[in-house]
Amino acid sequence: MTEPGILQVRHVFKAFGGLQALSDVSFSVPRRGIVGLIGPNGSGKTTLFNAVSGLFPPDRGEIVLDGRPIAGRPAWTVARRGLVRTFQVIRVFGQMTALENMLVAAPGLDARAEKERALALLDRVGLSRHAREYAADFSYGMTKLLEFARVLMPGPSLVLLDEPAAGVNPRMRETLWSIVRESREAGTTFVIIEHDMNVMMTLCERLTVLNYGEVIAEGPPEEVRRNKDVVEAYFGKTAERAER
Amino acid sequence: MKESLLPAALAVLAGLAALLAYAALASPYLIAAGFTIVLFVTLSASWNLVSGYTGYVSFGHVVFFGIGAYTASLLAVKGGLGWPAATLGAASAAAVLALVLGSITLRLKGAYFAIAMLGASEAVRVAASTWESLTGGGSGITLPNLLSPRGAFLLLGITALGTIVLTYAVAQSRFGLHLLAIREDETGAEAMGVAATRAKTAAFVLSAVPAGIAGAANAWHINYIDPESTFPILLTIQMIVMTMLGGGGTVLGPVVGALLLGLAGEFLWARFPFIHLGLYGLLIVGIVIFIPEGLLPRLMARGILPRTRRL
Repeated sequence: MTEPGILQVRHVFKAFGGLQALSDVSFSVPRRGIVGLIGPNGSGKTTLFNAVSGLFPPDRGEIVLDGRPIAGRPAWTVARRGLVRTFQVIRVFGQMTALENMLVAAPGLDARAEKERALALLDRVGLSRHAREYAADFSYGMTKLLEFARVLMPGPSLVLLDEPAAGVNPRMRETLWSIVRESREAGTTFVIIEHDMNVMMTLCERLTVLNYGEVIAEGPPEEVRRNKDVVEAYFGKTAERAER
Repeated sequence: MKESLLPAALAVLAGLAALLAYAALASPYLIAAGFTIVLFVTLSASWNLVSGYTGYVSFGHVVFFGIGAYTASLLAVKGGLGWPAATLGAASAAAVLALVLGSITLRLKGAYFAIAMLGASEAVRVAASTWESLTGGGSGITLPNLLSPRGAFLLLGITALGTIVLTYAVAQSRFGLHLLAIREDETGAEAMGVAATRAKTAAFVLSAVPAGIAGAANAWHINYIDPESTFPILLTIQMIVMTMLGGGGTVLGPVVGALLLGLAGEFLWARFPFIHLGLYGLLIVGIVIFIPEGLLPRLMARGILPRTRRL
């Protein structure tokens, strides 16, 4: 790659007590790309998101967003530089309306433009009828959609999605992925954690595979799919034999 | 969000007119009773501004009331200032103390913040009683009569009204949304770009100012202060209970709570002088069990009041 990516993660380490959650993780996200982050449960995907988004600093290593180092910076600074994320465990603001949830993430336009933008995004995920209801009264799927709409509210340059489709009904799931594609066309970059391999194979241009906190493979989906280590990590050795 | 400001402006004018009429017409007894009510309104509304909106429960808010009382009294007695300048000094001292305390304690979460504030208010109280050369220690400070009871009532009444207007403005603003987001989920708010520590500290400073003015007005009202009566933990507890009763994180919740408890307090004081604290305790238990979210949010949830940040 000649042009440096929008995000570079270089030699990042993170341990929790005796558990080495991330071990020498390096990868790069091309601008306006859709990158998938896959790996078995406990492989360090969410930990990597947390370190990149500033929830906690990595023990070692560099994280560079748009040419500026962000490792160890607080989450709100990282967010204001254009990197926002969703959470696997939803973090919507329960005692606030959907619209208010959106406005918290507003990019700082005038009030009318922000409200229009918020309502348009809510409409896009099918929540416009519920704009003035408290998020606490939403179903699980609706809160996932709200969180997804909210993460697009500030007009971010890089979005980290941690299992955004979990608990969302199949039809809305399709909508969600098409919004990802459209936003990418509009200039947003995505890194996605998702367990549905069919989605990941078609949606992402590149996949990064983590296992036990290490990157075990990286590349276009087709290539990664054929990678022996990946198959082993996912399905164990029997599956590998079965494939042969 | 830009809805008409007319109803709010009319309400403020009506409130101002009511205060002026009350100050002009009420008997001395009613002025004293009214002073207690506007004191409760100011203090609970000021507590609500930080604790109701951010969810950071301050168990030491009385420290701002106390520092206001001492600053005003010392500026008047030792500095020879008149009541207006001394009151402004009280407000500034409270703001500075909030900035210093807040930038330390607001980094703590939940119960740790509550305990740190309790400790801070006790520490300032102890300082007030031991620094005898400045504060007169336990024997307190006697003040010249700078402001009549009616004047003190009006000063505090307008402060109460100002605190409500301030809360109204905060509640409609992006800043107010950020505070609520912090209350709901601080990590989530920060991930969306909310500078939580900064916002909390700003709310803390804003909330300290009316409490500081209340301390000054109280000093003008009773012409005497001492550490025990200016830093009572009971006053913090009353701020918390009144706000919880009416509903934290709303504009009028603490006002409703302060009016109800203020009037009930007068009633209970008069009828049951020996068991009124016990009744108070029962009331707290009742609130927590039956209306934990407070009266106003309950009425909003029932659809009796409109669900809006303007109330």
